[in-house]
Amino acid sequence: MANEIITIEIDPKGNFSLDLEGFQGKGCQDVAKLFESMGTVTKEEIKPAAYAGPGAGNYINTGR
Amino acid sequence: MSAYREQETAMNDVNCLRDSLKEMKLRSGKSCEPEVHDQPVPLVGYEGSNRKQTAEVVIKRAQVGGSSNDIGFARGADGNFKAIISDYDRSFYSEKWLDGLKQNYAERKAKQVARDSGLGFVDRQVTANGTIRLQFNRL
Repeated sequence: MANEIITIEIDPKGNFSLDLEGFQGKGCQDVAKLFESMGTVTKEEIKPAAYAGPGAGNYINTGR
Repeated sequence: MSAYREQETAMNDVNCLRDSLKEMKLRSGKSCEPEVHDQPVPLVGYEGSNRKQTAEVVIKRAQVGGSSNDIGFARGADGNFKAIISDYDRSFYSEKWLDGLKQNYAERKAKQVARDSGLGFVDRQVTANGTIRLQFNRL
């Protein structure tokens, strides 16, 4: 857990981005859920290995 | 593994809104002490009479500025607060002022969510373009 970093950037218009790094498995999605009540998600990218397992492969799911 | 999200901030926490308003600059130079009501109350115009608009969070006109009307924040059906500001008062309480309020609110709310979730606060920075960067870690 030592390298799990959550970075939130709030722009001058008050909208924000959430950047989660260093998480194992689906832990980052659990943390992202904590901030969902703050507003509508307009963009999302999940990078491997969210669905951890051997040979999970590489993919990026972008946008809505 | 990493994830990235962008979100449009929705002001739906009345306590965070109240506390953020307290930090906002008013044209009058007075400190902002917003009223919070369980049910919407009529906003009062500069002449002292009730307007048709109602709101749960109200900045009284005496605080707003000379010859001003009440400013209100009304909760919509989606649970989010929207500002009610007269045309007269929009010259000062503009979109930029509202953006500043929303930024203050988002920072306050993010810190609250992090604290309530047991996340550890690491750092706060402000970039050259006015973006606030907060960092937390999972303890």
